[in-house]
Amino acid sequence: MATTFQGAPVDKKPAANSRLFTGLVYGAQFFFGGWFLAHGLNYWLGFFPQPHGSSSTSRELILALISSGLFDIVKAVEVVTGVLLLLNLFVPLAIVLAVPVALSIVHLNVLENDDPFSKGTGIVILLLLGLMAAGRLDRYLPMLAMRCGDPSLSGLRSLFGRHQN
Amino acid sequence: MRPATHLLAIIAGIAAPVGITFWTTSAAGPRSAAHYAAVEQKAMGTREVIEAFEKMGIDERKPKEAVLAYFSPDVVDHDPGVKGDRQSIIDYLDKRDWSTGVPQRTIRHIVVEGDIGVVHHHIVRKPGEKGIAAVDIFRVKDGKVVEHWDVLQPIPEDMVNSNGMF
Repeated sequence: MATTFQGAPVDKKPAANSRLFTGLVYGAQFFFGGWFLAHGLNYWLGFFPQPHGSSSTSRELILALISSGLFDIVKAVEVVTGVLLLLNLFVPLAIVLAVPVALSIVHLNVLENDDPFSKGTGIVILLLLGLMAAGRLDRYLPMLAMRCGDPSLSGLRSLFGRHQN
Repeated sequence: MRPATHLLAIIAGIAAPVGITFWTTSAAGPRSAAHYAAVEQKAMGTREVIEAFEKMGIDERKPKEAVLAYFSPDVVDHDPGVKGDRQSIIDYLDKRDWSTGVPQRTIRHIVVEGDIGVVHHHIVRKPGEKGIAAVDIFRVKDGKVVEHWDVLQPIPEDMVNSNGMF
């Protein structure tokens, strides 16, 4: 049992838990980032087979996204968020950017596809997303204010370096 | 995070999902080419299934393969010449000699409405014979024929009708 400089005992267990949590979140982040980057680039470079979904609905949706050009945006989002997560830059923003694409993939895998592998994949993606978001929850807590007062210029001033006294 | 640890994390982060994807899309994986072929077939419409069956079964002379590919294992066949299950259709087609250029088949019409498709065609089973005016009716679900009826009318040697049967 360690002690603080004031002599109070400090349990080391929370620190170990914290390290474990940090490790898990980083594991989820790098795996998710690598997965998004590889599958995003695969759309243009074709490293591995790229079929149009594992159910009739997935296939129809993906073909519609391709023909409308929206799939290019989806894949660009995957590449950008993948790179940011792997470089550990703008991580809270990257997670938010990944959510619409990732939740669409989860929906198709869990609710539209019939096979157990799809269901498992959907659940794993959801867990990875939840773990990454939980690890950066402190960044999202300000958004959870029920009443946030009047709009102001303080955000813009902070962004462009002009702080109010 | 230390730079070396970060570099290793990036490498592992890319290698792990890529490795998993290569395994899942391999022949042994749950996302094999066979899996996606089955998905694509399930998405096929009534006309596509009938035309694919006719092409493989008659044009490419692979009737057994065509029945296995495009007829549901639980297909119900109403042809009085077969017992009515999928194996009996295969046995019936297997008895025929497919090597001598017969049967010859000319499709005259294909009419599709929803899950029902009707093929009106001229079949010649033996060289030199006039053949049969045939109507095959297929009910298709999830890319497979689930029910089949046929109506066969031999073309008579002497016809009163000068228009012919087609």
